[in-house]
Amino acid sequence: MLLQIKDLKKHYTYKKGILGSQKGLIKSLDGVTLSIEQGETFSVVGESGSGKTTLSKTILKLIEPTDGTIIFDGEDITHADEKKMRQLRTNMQIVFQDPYGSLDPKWTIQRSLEEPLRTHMKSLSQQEMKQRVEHVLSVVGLNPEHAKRFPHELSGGQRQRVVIARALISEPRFIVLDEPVSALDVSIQAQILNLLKQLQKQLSLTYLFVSHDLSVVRYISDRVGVMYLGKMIEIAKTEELFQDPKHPYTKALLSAIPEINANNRKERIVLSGEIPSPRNPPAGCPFHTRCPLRKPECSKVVPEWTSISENHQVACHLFNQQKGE
Amino acid sequence: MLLYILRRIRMMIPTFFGIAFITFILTRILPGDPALMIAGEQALPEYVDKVRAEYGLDQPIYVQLWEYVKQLASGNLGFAWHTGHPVIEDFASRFPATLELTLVSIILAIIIAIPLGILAAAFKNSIFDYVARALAFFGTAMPIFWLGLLLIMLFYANLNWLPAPSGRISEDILPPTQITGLYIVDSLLSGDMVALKDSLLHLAMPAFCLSLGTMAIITKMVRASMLEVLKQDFIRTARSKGIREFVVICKHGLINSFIPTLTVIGLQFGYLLGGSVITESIFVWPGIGSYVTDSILVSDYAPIQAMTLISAVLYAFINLFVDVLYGVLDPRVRYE
Amino acid sequence: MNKRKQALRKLMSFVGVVIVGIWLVLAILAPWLAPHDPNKIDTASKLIPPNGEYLFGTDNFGRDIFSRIIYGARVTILSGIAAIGIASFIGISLGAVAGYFGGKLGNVIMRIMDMLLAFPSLILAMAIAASIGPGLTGALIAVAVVSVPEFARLMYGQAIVIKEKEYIEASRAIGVSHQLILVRHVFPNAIAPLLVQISLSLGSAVLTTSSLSFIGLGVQPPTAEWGSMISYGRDYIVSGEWWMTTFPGLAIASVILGFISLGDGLSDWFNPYGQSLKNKLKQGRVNMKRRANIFILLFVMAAGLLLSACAENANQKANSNTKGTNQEGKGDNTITIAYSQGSGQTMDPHEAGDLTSASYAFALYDQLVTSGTEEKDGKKVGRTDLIKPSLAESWEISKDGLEYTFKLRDDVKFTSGKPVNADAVLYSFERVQTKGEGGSLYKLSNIKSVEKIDDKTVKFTLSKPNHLFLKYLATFTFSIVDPSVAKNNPDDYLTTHSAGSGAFKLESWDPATGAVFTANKNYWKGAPKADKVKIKYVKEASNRELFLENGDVDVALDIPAKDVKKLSAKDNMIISSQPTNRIVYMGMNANFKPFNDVKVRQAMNYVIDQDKIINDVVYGQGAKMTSSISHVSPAHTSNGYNYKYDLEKAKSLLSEAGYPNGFEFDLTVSSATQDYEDIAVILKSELEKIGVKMNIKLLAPAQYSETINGKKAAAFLGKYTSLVNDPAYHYGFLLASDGASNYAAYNSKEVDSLLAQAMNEQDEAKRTAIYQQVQQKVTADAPWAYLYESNLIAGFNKDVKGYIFYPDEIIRFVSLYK
Repeated sequence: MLLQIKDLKKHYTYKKGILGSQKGLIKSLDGVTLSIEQGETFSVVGESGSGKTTLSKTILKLIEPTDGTIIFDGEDITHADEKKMRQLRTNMQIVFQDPYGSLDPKWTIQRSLEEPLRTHMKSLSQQEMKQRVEHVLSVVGLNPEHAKRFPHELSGGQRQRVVIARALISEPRFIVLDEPVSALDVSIQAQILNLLKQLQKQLSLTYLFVSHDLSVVRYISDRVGVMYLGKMIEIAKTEELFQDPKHPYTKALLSAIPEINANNRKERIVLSGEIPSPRNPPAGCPFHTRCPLRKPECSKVVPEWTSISENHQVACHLFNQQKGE
Repeated sequence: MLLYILRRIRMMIPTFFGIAFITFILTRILPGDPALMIAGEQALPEYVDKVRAEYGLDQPIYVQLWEYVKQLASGNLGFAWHTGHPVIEDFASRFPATLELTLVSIILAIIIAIPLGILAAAFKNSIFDYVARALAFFGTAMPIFWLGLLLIMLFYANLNWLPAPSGRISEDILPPTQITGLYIVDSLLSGDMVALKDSLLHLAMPAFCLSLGTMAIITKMVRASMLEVLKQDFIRTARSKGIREFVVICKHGLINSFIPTLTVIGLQFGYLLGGSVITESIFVWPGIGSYVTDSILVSDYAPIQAMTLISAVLYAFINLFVDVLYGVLDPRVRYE
Repeated sequence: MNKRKQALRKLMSFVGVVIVGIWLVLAILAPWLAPHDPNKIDTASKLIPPNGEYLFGTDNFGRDIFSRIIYGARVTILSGIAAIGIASFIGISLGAVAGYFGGKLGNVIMRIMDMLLAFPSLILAMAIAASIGPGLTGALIAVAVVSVPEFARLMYGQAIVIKEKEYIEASRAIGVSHQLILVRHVFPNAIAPLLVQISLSLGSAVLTTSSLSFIGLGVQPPTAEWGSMISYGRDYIVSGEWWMTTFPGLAIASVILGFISLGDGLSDWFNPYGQSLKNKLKQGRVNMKRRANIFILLFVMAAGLLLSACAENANQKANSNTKGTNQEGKGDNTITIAYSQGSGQTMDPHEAGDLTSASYAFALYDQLVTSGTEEKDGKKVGRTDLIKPSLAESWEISKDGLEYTFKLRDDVKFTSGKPVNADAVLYSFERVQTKGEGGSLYKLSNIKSVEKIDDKTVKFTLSKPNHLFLKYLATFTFSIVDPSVAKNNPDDYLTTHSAGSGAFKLESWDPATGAVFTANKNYWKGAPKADKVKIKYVKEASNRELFLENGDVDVALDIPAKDVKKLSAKDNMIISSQPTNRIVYMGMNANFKPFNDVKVRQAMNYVIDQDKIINDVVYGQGAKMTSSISHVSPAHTSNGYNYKYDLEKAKSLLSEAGYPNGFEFDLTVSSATQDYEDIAVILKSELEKIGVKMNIKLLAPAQYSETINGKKAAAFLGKYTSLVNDPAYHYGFLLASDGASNYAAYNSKEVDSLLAQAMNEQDEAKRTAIYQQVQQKVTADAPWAYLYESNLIAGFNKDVKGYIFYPDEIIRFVSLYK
């Protein structure tokens, strides 16, 4: 197990009331537990507001967790300080969604790529750094002479490659990818995804993939976790999830994927209402307000994890009862 | 919205305390022993000490601070020894002068700047544009005291078109019956045309001086925001709907450039109120600007403290007003 | 189209660069580029209009304005750069920390910035400059402090936005430290608007610095600085020397313009505009014209309205000002006097401490005795050393000089109708003790007790003989007030109301503008000839002269000496220039080297060219000062005054004292009056000729007061007008070793004992002889360098009669009429 998180929570406080004297809570992450094996690609899906981006940043401790545990490579890093994290950062990298935004517009590609080296491997010589930059550029399929350019001189796809290169240059073991292809044209998406898969094999990388695009997720993942309002509600192996979703929310989500083959089209499950605000999460199961199959206890008790099969867990009262019998 | 206003006011209160505190510190650093100034040149040392005790100046600083706060809380702004009157009285008698000057400057600035800015945006590189750009350029660079003196040299000393810089009204003309303290308003209200004409003539130069800077900024602002707005997509949409150009410009362009312009006007008002110092000094305007200047030069604490506090408070409220107006006018800007 | 616009924009910023560049060059190379010495005083060539030799003309000291402008560039521009450099560094750092790190600290920082921004910036700058003291440092710090918040806010706004950018987060994810992120990522991305702001702030700094100097809080004389040059030139506008004001102003404006162009250019460079709108609006142009027309129409209508209103007035004129009160000023017997020092601090004679309030006291109240008058050159002149009866018709002094018994007149009533009797006198003297000013004088009078003998008789008993006693009784402080009014009203009633028996009653008093007095028709000396006296506070001398000329006022006090010649030529006014007992001197404190050596002090006296000072500074409206007391004072003698303007003698004295190469010292001067600054400048240049370096330390009045009183000044310019015209009073304050106004810390046992002797001497002739001895001793000891005695100059409408000049400088308007 490369990464293990237990009951991870991130709560934000805000001021309420006329005088601002009361405090309210935004529960961005409300107790997430999962583990990722070395070399696998674990995807997290969910609507906007589900907390998946917060999850990805909290795992890397770019956001401080409010509660819970993070164990990376056997080491508990939940409370690790700045210094410790800096050492670890070489091992855990992140690729953001917006390739233009994640590169400093005033820096050349060369400089942006050298930044990780200057931070962690200060002893390298000018020449060595240049070599590494060249190498990593070719790994992601770019011409080394791109190094002299500025971000605004490259296309979207090229920029994303640069960002990936930057993530790779420090030779990490674990990379978090937060919607890495959502901003790209569909044709480029495929290229990048393939690149990522290839790199994973080549360099024995472990990915945490965050996305709202289910077809991309299906293509690239080993396992998938579904989040809703700060909680993980179903985790399964990719194909198992797509073919046999258990949680009503997952079912609704999957039914919305456009399907070209008319025969395979399932009936679209339409959910009522909108996703509640994380300021006022419903009691009990977060989904109960929109669930077509809701039961009385759904609004009172938070469902626990139930194992459907070895690699398939779900948090839903529908399945609790079955288990109980 | 009401909530927003209340919250803003609540946030302002510590700021006011901070300002009062800073003012207090500043005045206490002012050099010179006011007791000596008050007592006068030919006073015996015991008398000086007596004065010092009377004004509480012999107390340690934190006691003085406490006295000051207590005073403020009861609405007492202190006593200006160099005029012999409570600051509130001095302020009340001088405020209308500055207010009138400021208001007239702003109105003058708006009347000239807004149309000029619009025309400049509409007709790029036309005469309007050049005038506007020249105004924007020179208006911000012109030192007021120099402009004032030049105007006096030209219009009074040379041409004799405008009266001497001797205050708000000529010596031989009685001020209009006091209702608001603003000579223009009062003379209109009481039908006193002689006083009206004379006040306007006296206001001409100082108001122009004071308004130039504002004029320049507003012109720039109006022109720039009109240009911005006219560039935007929704103008294209409106036009593609076939609405007459005229309506397009009127409705969308003007209203949307109104907002940043309004902000600027609001801020300028705050600035002008305090910035009339130099103008009042040159044109011998009996307003609060010259009052504060005199106080600073003789180290009379009370007026300085009171004045800076008042103008800071005024400034904060003007800001609030502008922000609220902003929220009312532009639905995109709504406050929780 | 775009090309032209771009070209225009480039031109603008180019212009900015050029202007700033030229000024920078001028500033840095000033010593080599200026044709004349900017500080060389040459009064022979003063006030010359621009010509070949003096490109921009000369100022009132004969200094070349062109050279002063070039040198002024150094002060203004270089100090502006320094101030903004500091301000931007501090402001940007604060803003970056507050914006990037946020949190409580960030909150506090930005709150403080908001607070600073809430102050009107010029007032804040003034307060800071005043606190630190006049001079370049104060101005620099003031400008810096005032500029910091804008930078902080700008940087804060930038930092807040930038820190949310993903590349910042990416760098965090890489593990880069906060400090490095700030410096390497945040900063470079924030810099564009900051550079623009720096440029604009530089323009602002120049404006603020010159504004401060204009007011008098900035650079000290004789340093050339544009703002103070304009301030000087202000007095010369009406007399036509336009070049003194115009050129410095042009300099300021052009520098500011340069910086603004630069800023605009930079701003355009960073944010190029979109495409031209002209194409877009081509079709709409017709309608735009229509819209423009509407505005023009509105304008014209408004203008027309205004013009017609004016035209209407031209016809109706003064008659339509129906209140009728406007007519009042002309025709009936109202005297309007323009005062120069404020409209007074109090109407209470026991509290009055300034000349204005003193004159009010004399109008409203009577005293037991009063100053006499004499005929001089066909005019009546007041003699504050002669005592005549007033409320008391006669008095007796006991042989030992300790008891004074006064017999009051029995025909005097207060304006309330109550009689002026012994009770009133007793009450007044009780009350006066409780007041500050009054208390001082009471003590000086040595009064032990005041008794009522009968309704019309009062006896004063002194603790020691005091030959000044009668003169004290004649001062305004010992006015007799109406007990029936004072007792039945709150204590401060008399501050704003009159309760006396004097020639006038108080009708109204407006703090901002002035007071109105109406005649007391029942005045026991006979009703004053004028029905009303109006006091107007007119701050500016040029305005006072203007009003006098136009007939708007009948009397104008404090006419500047330089205008006497010009005004005397006018035939509708008379200028009165009379010597007073005001003396102006340079005090030297023997506790500071090298003034501990009498030779040095004497040497200073030989550097003073009194004729020149009287000529150049007060334009002949003064007299030579030949003793430590003015020549209009009794007992004055010029015996022993052998000093004259002799630089060689001064030099040799200095050599004897051991300073062959001169020395350096600070001269403390009050910034209250322009004249004193001028004298200081002249002194400085004279002293330079004998190798003495004098630094002019200009202080605001309050600070000057404090320094002088603390006897902390090595040398200072002082002035003094004794309230009571008598050497006992004068020397008691100024040169007795325990004198309250002995700022030079003069300590002479001999003088002290002579003064004590004189106090006890009853015989006037013998007293005079003693005081003459004192004067000779003082002159020889030279604690002071005598500068000059100044006249009191007032202007009168030719119809005004009855003016009686008093050497104590307080105007009594009871005798004035038209």
